[in-house]
Amino acid sequence: MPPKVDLQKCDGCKALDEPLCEQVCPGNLMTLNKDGKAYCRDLRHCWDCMSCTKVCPVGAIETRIPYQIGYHKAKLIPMMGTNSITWTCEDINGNVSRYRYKNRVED
Amino acid sequence: MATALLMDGDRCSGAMGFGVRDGKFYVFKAKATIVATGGACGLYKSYTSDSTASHHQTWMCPFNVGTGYAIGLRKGAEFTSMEQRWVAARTKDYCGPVDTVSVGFNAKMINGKGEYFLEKHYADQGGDKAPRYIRANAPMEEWREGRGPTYIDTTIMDDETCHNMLTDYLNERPSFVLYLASNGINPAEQPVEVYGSDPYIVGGHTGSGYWVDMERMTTIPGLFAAGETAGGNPNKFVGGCAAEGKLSARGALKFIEDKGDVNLDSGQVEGEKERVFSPLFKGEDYDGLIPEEVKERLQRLMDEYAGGTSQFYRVNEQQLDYALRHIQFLKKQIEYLQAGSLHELMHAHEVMDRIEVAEIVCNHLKGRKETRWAGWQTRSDYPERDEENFNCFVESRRNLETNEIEVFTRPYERIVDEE
Repeated sequence: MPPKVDLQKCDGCKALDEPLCEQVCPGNLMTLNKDGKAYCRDLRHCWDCMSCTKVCPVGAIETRIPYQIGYHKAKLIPMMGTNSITWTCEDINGNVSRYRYKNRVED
Repeated sequence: MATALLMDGDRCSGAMGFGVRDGKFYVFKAKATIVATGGACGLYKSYTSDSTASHHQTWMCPFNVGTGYAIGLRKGAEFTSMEQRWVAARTKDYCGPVDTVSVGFNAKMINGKGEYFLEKHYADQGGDKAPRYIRANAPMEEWREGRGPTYIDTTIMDDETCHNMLTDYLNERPSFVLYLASNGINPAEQPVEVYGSDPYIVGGHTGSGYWVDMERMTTIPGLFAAGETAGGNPNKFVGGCAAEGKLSARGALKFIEDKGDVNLDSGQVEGEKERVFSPLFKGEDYDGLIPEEVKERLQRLMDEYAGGTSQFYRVNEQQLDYALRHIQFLKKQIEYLQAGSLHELMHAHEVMDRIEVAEIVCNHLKGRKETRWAGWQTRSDYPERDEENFNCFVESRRNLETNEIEVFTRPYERIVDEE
């Protein structure tokens, strides 16, 4: 918390009426600024659910822990597969771990 | 966002609301209506809310604001067990799930002195397998007794088990893994801290919600409830809530077959449209209130006077009277709410709904003059269980003629034999 948007990577999901992060945010928090880049309209209202981070097709959104709760700067990056997510986590001491699980069951 | 039920006499005839992005007013005329909005988070202040950039550090979804309850409360529906608040032992500072570890991986809670306190102090109630309200309240009692901090002892795990546990967390609450990484915590080497959550009203876990019949119809004909809004059937969780969706849909279909069509009252539609959008049209110079400050006033009030985390969930009659007195102030001041955008208009209605639900929660807490589920419901002025008078449901409804909230009881009937 909050989502940190990489303005170089974000293309505002140009082809869509509504960008994916705006569609998926359960708090109606993500939207586009006047330059067509995603931003969170009220940072302290973010629930850290990471829905925007996972859905962003260009990997422009990173979820950050507020400093009052966690130290600078760990990372948790999802790589979305067709039916699985691979997560890469780096802690404040530089230790890197990888995790993978299936998030869709094939019919 | 739904804002009100439509009524055709005593029967529910649909719902109204507005689009939080398109700003349109929506009218749903319906022969039967099912409320499945989820419960209420944010009635109480989260302890991580102060001095952090983390206002929504709650276990329950903070965007569930109690709308499903509020729309029925305003129409006089009967509610049950709203005093049975859901409070849980959660990971400290992050409000992540703990049962994932304790139940899924057999890890036990431990206090600052290194004691397995559930075993030590709650053996007669099942120790580490004690009922959930005991497991929720126990760590907070350790803190109160001067034996904090409290942890869940994850160091029993080998690296592979710990990796599997973290994978489970990534599926359930991914940013908790980021929280651990941000604090340099490897759970296989260091226990994870636990603390009590802020209280929630969530009928999927506890018994709070609309009083419903077997078909899940509320006391308002044509209005059904499923999941967190349907009261009196706790511990149903995700699967049970989904099953209840099916039950209520069957009930609604049968009701439609029996009762037929409804009439749409355009007076109600016009009145609600005006009420819903009024905070948007107060004008730039209007000296009013923003939804956020009203919400924070309510959350602090509930935390301190209605048994929040700061009070170790304890409450007495005088605190509740204080809370209710101030809830009346808040209800009167709703008229000063102003909104500069559709998003803020949503917040304005969210806080109105939260105030409505908070009022009924306080009335229920007053109604149960005993302590039945310490933590979920702790009366410091009635610390014992009173089987003679309170082995029953506490109920309430707003009398629409007097506008008073009436609190009463319903008998508890055992319909399945105890194992």
